Amino acid sequence: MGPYETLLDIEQSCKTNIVNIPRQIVTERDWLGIAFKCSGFNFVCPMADVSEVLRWPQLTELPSAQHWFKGTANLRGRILPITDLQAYVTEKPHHNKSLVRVMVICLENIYFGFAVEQVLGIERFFRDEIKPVDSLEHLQQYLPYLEGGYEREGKPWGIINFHKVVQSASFYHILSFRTDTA
Amino acid sequence: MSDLLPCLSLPLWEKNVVLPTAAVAEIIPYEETQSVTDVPSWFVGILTWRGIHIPLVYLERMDSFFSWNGSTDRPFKDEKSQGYIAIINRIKAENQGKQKYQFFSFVLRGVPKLYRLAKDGIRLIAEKPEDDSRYLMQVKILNEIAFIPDLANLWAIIDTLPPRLQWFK
Amino acid sequence: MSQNSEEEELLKIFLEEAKDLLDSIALTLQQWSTDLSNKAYFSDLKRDLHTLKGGARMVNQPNLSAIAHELESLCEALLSGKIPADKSTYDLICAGQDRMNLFIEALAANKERPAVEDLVQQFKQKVTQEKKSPLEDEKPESTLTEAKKEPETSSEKQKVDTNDVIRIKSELLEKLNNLSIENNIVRVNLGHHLDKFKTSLSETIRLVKILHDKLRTNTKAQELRITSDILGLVDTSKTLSQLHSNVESLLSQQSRISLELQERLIDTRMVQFNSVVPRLSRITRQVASNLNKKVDFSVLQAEGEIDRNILDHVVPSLEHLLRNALDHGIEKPEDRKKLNKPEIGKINLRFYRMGNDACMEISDDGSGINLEAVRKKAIKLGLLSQGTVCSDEEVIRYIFEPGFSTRDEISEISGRGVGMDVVNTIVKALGGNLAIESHYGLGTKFIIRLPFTTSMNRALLVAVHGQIFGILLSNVESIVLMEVKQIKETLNKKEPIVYNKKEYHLKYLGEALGIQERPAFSAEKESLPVLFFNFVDYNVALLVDVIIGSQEVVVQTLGPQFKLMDIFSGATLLADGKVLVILDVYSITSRTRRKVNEIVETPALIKKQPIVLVVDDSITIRTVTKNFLERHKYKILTAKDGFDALSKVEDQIPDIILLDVEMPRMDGFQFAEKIKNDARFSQIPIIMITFCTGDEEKQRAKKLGIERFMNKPYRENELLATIEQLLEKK
Repeated sequence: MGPYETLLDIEQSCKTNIVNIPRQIVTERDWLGIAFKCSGFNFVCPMADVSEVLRWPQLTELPSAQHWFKGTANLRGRILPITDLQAYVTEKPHHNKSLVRVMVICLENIYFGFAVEQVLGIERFFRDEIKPVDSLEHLQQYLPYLEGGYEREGKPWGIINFHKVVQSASFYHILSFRTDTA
Repeated sequence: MSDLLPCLSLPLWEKNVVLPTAAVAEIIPYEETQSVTDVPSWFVGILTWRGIHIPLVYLERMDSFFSWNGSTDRPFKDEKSQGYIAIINRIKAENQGKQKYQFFSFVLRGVPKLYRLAKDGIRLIAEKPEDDSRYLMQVKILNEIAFIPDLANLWAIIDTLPPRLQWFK
Repeated sequence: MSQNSEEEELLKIFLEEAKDLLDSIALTLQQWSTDLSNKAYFSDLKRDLHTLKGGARMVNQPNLSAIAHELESLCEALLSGKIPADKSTYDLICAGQDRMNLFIEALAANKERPAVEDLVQQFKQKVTQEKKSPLEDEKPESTLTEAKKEPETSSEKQKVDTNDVIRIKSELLEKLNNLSIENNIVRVNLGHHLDKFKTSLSETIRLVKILHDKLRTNTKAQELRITSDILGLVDTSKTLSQLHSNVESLLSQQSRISLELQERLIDTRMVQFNSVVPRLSRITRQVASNLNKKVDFSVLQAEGEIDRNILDHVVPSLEHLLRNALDHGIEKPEDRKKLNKPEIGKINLRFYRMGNDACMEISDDGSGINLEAVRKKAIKLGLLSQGTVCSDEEVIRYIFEPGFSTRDEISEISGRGVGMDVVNTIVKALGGNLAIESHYGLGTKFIIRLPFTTSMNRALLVAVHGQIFGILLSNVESIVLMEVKQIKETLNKKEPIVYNKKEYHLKYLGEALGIQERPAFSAEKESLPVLFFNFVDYNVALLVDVIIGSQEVVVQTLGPQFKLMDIFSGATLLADGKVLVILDVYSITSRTRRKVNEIVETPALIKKQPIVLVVDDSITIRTVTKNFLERHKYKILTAKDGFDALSKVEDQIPDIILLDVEMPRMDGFQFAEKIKNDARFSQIPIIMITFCTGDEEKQRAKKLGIERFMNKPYRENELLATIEQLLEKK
């Protein structure tokens, strides 16, 4: 048996073993998300969008940058722009010293770095739990970037779609002044 | 239809372990566990996960040939800010008594990577690498070297632990 | 005969596909010859012939398509049992296969193609026979022997290339190039490290010498025989020194080799600029005739080479500028007459090299740009406030703002897809700049200036208030140390400096970047460095705090998040791993800077392109459709049959599917059924495109819920309109 078949085999043996576990987890090839904390709230985003998670890297700052643009970092030879997610979304500078993780988000082969407070791990998704965006008022400013949300153990979670973040107009106004084509 | 197999590459300290995502129930950040005395060196503690108790281990130390002289040294100092825990489903076994654990967990060094593998995306490097009974194969996935664990073997070792009730004496 | 490059490309693809199909047909025929009654072979043959037919139509070879069509009919007749599966039928089909082979060979060699009528007639006759005894073929013997030969040779049939030309996948070449660039980066880093090593080594030698001197006369040291150890150290450091020298000279050799390797690789990427001229001239003719304008397109100068990648990226921009000149620039013949201009307008193309740059000019003698209209529109869009004083050069650059167009509707010819703002962005992304010269009533000239190749560059490292930036040396005309006194005077009076008979505006980099208004003039420094730049439309002298040095860099793009930040033209990685941002001096200095309080809404920037999945077993058809749709800004996924398509859909859900019917493994109907019955995908609109247009098929499609049914060959406009319609509904 080659390696691929071995893995398939393991997959089969895990699936056929339907065990009574505390919550119903969808074991078909389904949604895996990376869970993280931002502004004190819990979020997930599709695992496929996250290429890796970094400890705070060495940054080169940009002159006259907006408060939410942290700078660029060298990721093994690739230049990675780093945006402070909380500052960008809430549009307010903050002094949250606990910004220690950078999620490297890869969309259509383009890499963006987003600084968040904490990366919690990997969550599996319960499709039937997903609530529509409008029901998540407390996440206010994050709403335009969310696909939906759910509740787990009494805590609210938001599902972030990073495509929406990088498609928002102000994402490209990195500097705090405009020259005429900026 | 789609024959791309989703797998996770789970980083240990010196190796990466690869399993299909179906085998991984969940990944959570590292947390302190209830430690117990008189345990094998690979045993870290008891993890409370979704209301049930499961063993937390160091996969690196579960080598039946080599024991760490009962050392309780953690491989790295500040696990809290770095580590994660992978919770593994039980594979179907012949004698699955009620007393046996249905999940076990082990400590990871970092965030796992998700791969969607086609048959030619994974290559065999060696079977039973290093004569280590923990692993079935050493493989190469894209540019990464990883090991497929021998879950049957690992479960056999886990099953040598006393059933849960006895922990809370 | 000038064929345009696209058609040539298409033909190449078709020829490759045709070869594969003919090979497959030959194989099937050989297998069939050993088992004449086996019907399975007929379907295989039919399918290959069907695909070949489709491809032949796409590249405009009706004769080939006719012969394939008749053979296909023969296969159908075999399948239905209408004609017997015997040797004479077999021979006939082989004859057809031979003829097709000859045809393809002739097509590939650009020689005269063989006639097909005779065989076509024979095939037709054969089909109309019904289980009669087979007629004698015209050349029974020869076809049989040829048939026997075919299967063996077809697999060995290699295209013998003339000259020592090898075909390499451009992907491989790209990879080689990237490796070479990486190699150069490592080499530069190695150089840095070697320098540091030298410094440490010198320091060590110095200290050892001091130690030696101190201990030489020390009695205690002599007792402990330390001196011999020290002498050992001195020896070792001499050896180290020698080794360092050797490494340095090896590195220098390697440098030479790496650079030459890089240059040779770059050479492989060079193409003649005039290769785009036929295409541009064809577009000009087409568009002019659509607009009923009379235009003479002339190429003033087109000698020279340019990097293929850069050319590929800039061609759409050149096309857009041409369309723009035709649409907005050149007036209608009647209007031109009224203006006493010659009825036939002129559009000129010029290409030349200037230093490290390649320059492309497109000029017309049309109506020129109406600066007043531009100014008004800029004010209307909130980009310019009423009272601001702006020079003509500054006003004209507003046409590069996204969403800017002085016509109320974006005309179909020049507007859609590539706007002036996109042209500017593309040129910037390539490391160049776009300038305009225009005189209202007289005409307009666009000048694109690009680095002629993307390779190593030397960058000047400058600092302002401790922050370090890079400026490409190739852009700098000269560097001068100006006296602080003169600097202060010039800044205060706001007068231009005259240098080398030219006037330069003096600008402080710190002020332009919003870091600080003036340099921190210190008592010790009597002069400060000023860099002089000559741009096409103006000159600037850039004042900085200090020039740190210069080094070779490989410029990388900063990525799409920086696409509006035209003051940064790229970045590079320094030896210490830090990112060095490279400034676009032209952008920084040429315009006024305003503090922004509100962000003006700009239209969506990374627009999510609609994804079209094209499912067809013919690579020719997939390629044609892909090229055509990509030109209209769709993102294309392709699949070669139902199975492939299913797996593609699982990976990335398309917005619409174009579906062929006749495909191996899983045909169009089977695939559509699966899709429509899957809740995840049932909402995706499907356009079924096929040669078979019987009512039966249409009914079947309707029953399955397939949204549209179209005939092959489709008309491009029709397909586009249908796609748009269906996408809008969503």
